[in-house]
Amino acid sequence: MSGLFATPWLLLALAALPALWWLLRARPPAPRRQVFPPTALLAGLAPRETTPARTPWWLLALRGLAVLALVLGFAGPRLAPPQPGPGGGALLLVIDNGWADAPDWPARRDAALAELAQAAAAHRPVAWLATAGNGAGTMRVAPALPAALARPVLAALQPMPWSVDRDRAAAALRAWRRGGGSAGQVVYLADGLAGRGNARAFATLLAAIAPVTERCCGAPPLLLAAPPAAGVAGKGGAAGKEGLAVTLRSLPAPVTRPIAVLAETGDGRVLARSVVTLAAGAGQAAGRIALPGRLANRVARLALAGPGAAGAGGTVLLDERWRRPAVGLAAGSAQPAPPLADAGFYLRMALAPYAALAEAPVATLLAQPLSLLILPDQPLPPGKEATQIAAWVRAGGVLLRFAGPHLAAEDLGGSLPLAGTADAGAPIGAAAGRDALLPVTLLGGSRRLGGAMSWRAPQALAPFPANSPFAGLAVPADVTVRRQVLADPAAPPPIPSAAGKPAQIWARLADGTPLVTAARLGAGRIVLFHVTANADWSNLPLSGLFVAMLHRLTALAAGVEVPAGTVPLAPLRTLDGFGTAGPPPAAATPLAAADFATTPASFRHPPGVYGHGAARRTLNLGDAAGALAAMAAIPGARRLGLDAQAVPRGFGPALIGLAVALLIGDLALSLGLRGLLGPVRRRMPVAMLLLAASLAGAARAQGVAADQTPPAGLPVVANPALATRLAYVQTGDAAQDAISRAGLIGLSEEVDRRTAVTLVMPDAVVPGRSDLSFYPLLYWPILPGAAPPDAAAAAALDAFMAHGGMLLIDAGAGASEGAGAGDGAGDGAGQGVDLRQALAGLAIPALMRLSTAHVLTRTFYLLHEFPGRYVGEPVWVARAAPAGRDRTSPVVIGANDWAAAWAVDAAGDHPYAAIPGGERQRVYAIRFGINLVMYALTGTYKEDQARVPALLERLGR
Amino acid sequence: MASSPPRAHAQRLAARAAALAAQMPPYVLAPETARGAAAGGHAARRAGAGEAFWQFRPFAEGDGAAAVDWRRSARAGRDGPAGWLVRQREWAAAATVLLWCDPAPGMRWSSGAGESKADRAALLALALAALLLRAGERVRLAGETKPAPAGLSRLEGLALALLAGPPAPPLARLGTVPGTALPGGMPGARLVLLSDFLLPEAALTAAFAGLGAAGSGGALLQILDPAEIDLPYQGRVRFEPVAAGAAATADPITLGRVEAVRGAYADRLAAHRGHLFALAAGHGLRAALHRTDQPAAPALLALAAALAGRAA
Repeated sequence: MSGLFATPWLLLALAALPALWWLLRARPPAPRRQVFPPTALLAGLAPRETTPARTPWWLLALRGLAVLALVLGFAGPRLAPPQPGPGGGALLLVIDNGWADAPDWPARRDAALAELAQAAAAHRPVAWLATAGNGAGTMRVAPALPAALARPVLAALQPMPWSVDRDRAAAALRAWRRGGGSAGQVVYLADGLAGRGNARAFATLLAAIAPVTERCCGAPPLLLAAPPAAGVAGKGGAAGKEGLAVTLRSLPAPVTRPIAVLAETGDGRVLARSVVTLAAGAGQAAGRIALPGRLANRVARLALAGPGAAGAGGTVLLDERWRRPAVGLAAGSAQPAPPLADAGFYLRMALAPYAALAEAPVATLLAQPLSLLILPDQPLPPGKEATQIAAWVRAGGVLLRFAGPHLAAEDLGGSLPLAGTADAGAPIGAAAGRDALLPVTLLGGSRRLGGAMSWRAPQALAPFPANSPFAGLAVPADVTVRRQVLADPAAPPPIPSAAGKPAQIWARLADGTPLVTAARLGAGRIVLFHVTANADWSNLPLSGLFVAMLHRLTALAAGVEVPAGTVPLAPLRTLDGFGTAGPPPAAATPLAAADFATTPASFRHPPGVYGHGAARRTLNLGDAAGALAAMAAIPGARRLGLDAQAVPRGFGPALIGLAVALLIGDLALSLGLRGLLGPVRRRMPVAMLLLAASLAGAARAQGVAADQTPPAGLPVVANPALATRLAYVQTGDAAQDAISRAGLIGLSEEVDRRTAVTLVMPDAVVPGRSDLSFYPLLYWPILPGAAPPDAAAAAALDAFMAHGGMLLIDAGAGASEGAGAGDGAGDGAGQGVDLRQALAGLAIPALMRLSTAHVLTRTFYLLHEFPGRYVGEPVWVARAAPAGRDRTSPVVIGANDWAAAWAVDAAGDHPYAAIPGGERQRVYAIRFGINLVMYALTGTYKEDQARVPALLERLGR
Repeated sequence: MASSPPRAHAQRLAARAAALAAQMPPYVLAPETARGAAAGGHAARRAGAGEAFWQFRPFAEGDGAAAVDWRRSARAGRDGPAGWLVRQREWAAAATVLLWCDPAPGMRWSSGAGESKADRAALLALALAALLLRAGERVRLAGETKPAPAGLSRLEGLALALLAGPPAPPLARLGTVPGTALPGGMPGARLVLLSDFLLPEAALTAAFAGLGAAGSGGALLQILDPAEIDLPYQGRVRFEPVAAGAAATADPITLGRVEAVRGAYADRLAAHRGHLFALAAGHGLRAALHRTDQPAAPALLALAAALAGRAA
């Protein structure tokens, strides 16, 4: 009986049923009292039918049933009584808590707790094992405890950022059995992955303990593998293209799965979003996150988008190996060269896969972070520019120079060049002094090998010396050098600080003459190629060796040397199972740099950042993992879903509801018997039924009603055609939508108060689904990482703009949560990407910055600034608005988070502070909003010439 | 200002009654039926108390000096008392109508289908009074003791007395109130009785006996609530008289199925009404039945016709 009812003693109340029966039969229903003046006339009227002195049987049955349902309902009947497992004994709970379990961890924990509750109901002790161990690396079967004691421990169990280890789990199980552990039932919460070790042996062992119930699995786990590092030569997947190539692994699923991958900066801002599609049945998919090189350098983390999707498996940390060094190519010569004769062409082609290349004058290049500066055949006479470069090199930069006719001629010191060495019209800066920023002192002119006038054949390259950064590169035999500049072995190096130290020779020709020389200057280096960067003097730039050499040089110039070798790197910050970075657990140990590529993540080496200072490396889960394998089937196991509700579900509430319905019906019938229902008696039972039916939904309806209570005094007009109102684009982000709504309510109230315009409660719209033709002004907040509008939405927005609507795009929205992290330039870059992505499919006209000359600054207030919650971001409007829409701009773009500035809460307060200007800034924000509304509604009539004098007068001119 | 609400109420009721009366044709009591009527507005084409000049006649013994038209007598030039001319005015007659609305608490009951019987009785009484006053007749309320306060029309005064004045005597004592018995102090006065007459038949007989012998006629209107006629109740009902306790006119009666006794009740009510109408005819009163859920105008017309001695 205790299995059938939660509180069986309540059934004693059933004994009262016969008493009720007797009572109801003994006492007929009370008559209706009726005052009646001619009562005397009724005296002695003998009714021809007998009075029903007793309650009708059906009413009696109804009431009896109601009381029966009530008693049974409160006694808590249960549909499925917990079945004691075969043989009784303890319950062994085996829980996979590897990285693959993190995304649906709440469901897994709930399932575990449900099993626990069931065991508690059956009074079975619970032993449990987590197959990925705990953070300290220990893995053992927790001895059997009463379920109530095991519950807090299990509730605190967390997924680990490494794979489950079948071998260790099997060992723990064996140790437990040796220690006398036994179970009557095994429940295995599986993630469906084989994990590390022998999954089959583990499955067999589980089945040998007791009958197994396997509860499996949520969505197939996703493992994001790191892109090929920029610093790894030869993995040519990335060559020639910008961006980050990512690989996604999963178990094959019968459906196509589009998965969004986000590229985030170190402070959590999203720089790019890309969708990788896992085809049906495929276990792996590749994708590319398109990012310009400079932005790609800012990416510190790749993560799967979506609530809970990331986890440790969906997170990849990037270190310096993925950074592309910033390389500047000095654009010195003004004369355009034919493409294949241009030195820049070969350099660009060689550097593109590995570096973020910028071409600009030297001064411009040095103004930004730069690790390698390339000067192709450009003399550097002492002067401001040379001083600037020298200072930069001393600070750690690498200056890469190429020889050429100009350099050769420069070093002649004014004498005539040797025959055929220099172009006749080349500028010669001899009079200005010697070029100091060279690793060696050059002999004047160049040496010519081979050709009609020479006895010597073009020289091949000698193998690279061991101390050269080029060491190990294979030298192709067909690379020959026909001309070169020569170092003066007798002369001291021109670099002052390196005096006495001979220049390093990194590459030689077969005859021993230096081809590449280098010297240190301060913390930096100066490297000279004794040939040109184009194919004039040698065919080196045409060979693959050139690319490899430049790559070595850029790696050298990265400024940060990626640690290598056996240097142990201590864990700095590691990920937990959910992909959140934190301090490393106590069990984490240092890892040799050379072992990173081969070490799988484990409790000793959790994924995360290792190293210290600038020398850091990241260990990612996907680094050493191959394709994912499915878990071996457990012999004889019963398989259940994760959300299968094994907990007995009581239907007491339903019975109580039935009893209430019956009692309401009884009320109606009793009233009817007594004639109290009067003229409405036909409708009353229906009303009672409706009342009973609505009881259940009452609470929900109340919640909805509370939600929809407008927080402000704006009139609500349902039909958008009947009253003017503003609207905002729903982003799907509840917080932002609330801000948008509150902001437009605040703005509408101010417009109502200050102008002749009457706006009603704003609407939320979804472009492509809502009819936009009713709204003069649409507020569209762009959130970081937001998906661009789909085709239907883009078409709807285009039509909206084309037909006279005005779109206010706010890229600053959502920054409220970002807490203002990062520098200004970075913000601009990130928002720029978001904005560009969001607007990719839209017909945005050419834009210009909003200035005080624009009519938007004069439509209601005279404005000089356009702040929102923040200030300083420029506001853009259409440069030349298309005719046919009254020359108003169809779009206003900014990033000042206006809605937050306008927002009012239910109490009429402004919940978001205006930064930094406070309330005065808010006043201007509201004025800007009013101007916007007036601009959207009235167009450019303020531009009429007739009003110009008055405006000029007010402006005080 | 304490009397203001009843006064305003009275004025509203008077206005309603006047509006109801305005729908009626002009009403005149036939002169020949106005035997023994008080001096009033109907010219009787004979000398008497009145306003209008009727004739001159020679002075006779006993005429007062004030009755002599001295100027006319002087112009006639005859001497002596025999030559004097006495100015006679036409005798103007007015009928007196005594209105009685039943003050019993049962009259204030309503089933909800219309206004209460008391309200309807007051409305009809006042509308009839408006008609009569328009025709120059005199109207009194049974039990009316003091004149209406100044500033109110006669109709409004009647309404105020009806609503807020001392209650009228019950039917059983109507004959004993001075000046209201039919043959008594007001010869020729006609009686209008408005009530539900839901008294036991014996009590009715006794009350009518107290009214005295047949007078100069009048009207009786039995006003009933539709529920009292149709008995629309169903199921198990405990019927209680209006006045409870010692004043109760009957004991409470519980009926198991009211619908079963509906026919018997209708028979009994019809017999009661037959008895009432017979009593009325015996006293020269024309009797009629009125339901409160029907419009008041036909009942008013019937009352007026009954008073005028014509068939409604």
